[in-house]
Amino acid sequence: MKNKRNKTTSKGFEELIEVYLSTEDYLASVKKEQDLNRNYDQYELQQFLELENIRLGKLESFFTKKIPAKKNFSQTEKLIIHQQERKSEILEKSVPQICKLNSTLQVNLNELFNAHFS
Amino acid sequence: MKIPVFEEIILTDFKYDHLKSLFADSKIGKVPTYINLSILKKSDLNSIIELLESVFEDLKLHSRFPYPTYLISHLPAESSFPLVSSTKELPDHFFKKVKRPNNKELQLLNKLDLKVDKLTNLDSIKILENFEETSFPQRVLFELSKELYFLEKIYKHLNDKTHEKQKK
Repeated sequence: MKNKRNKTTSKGFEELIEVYLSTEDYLASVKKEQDLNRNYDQYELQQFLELENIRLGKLESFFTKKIPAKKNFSQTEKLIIHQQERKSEILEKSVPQICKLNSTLQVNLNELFNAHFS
Repeated sequence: MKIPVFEEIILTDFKYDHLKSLFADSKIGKVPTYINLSILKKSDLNSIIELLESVFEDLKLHSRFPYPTYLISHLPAESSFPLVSSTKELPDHFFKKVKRPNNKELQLLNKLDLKVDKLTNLDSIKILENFEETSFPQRVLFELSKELYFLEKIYKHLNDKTHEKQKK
């Protein structure tokens, strides 16, 4: 009895699907999807070639302009010296401040040690 | 010009002269290529890679520019070639459906051809040596700047704290 009911239900469902598959809405959506895929395929190669042109253009400029410019007119050494000077200047100013007995670091360390090791 | 999609270079013989003529006639550097060495044992792999490197050097080809030549082997090896363990690991970017190009695509291909020729004519080995030379001081500068930024932050923080204390 149950099987018979299931069969009739599935048959009805199949008919419904068949009707839906033959409707204009469904056919139009399938056609739209196919057109989109076709368009994508049509422009896929063009876009790939455009991207390759850009990539190789950048590579070329890196090889012919940026690397030679970096080698011949490098400012890195000067910047390193400047940074080192600035670093030693900051260290000279900040280390005595940190080493003071009432400095924040010393006070915090004091509190930490007192809290955990006393 | 050919569309730059992957092309396999099939090696039938591992003799120097044969490889040299094969690579000279092939599209290596003009399109992305790969050489499948997965049948080789570890003992042979390194010597073959050295042989390939010397042939490339002799022909003034670069293993990565303008288009790379990948080696496929499941064994680890040190080489200037990019090495992957299977064809599935090759970059998807160079796997494209090949079709007859239209006018616009032909125009782009011609432009691409000029750029590839220009890059092939450059002495990329020397340029990359220069690049490595210049990259070391750049790294030093980067580390130094990072350290300086950290110290400046501490110094600013210290100054702010002392000002606060003085106000109190």
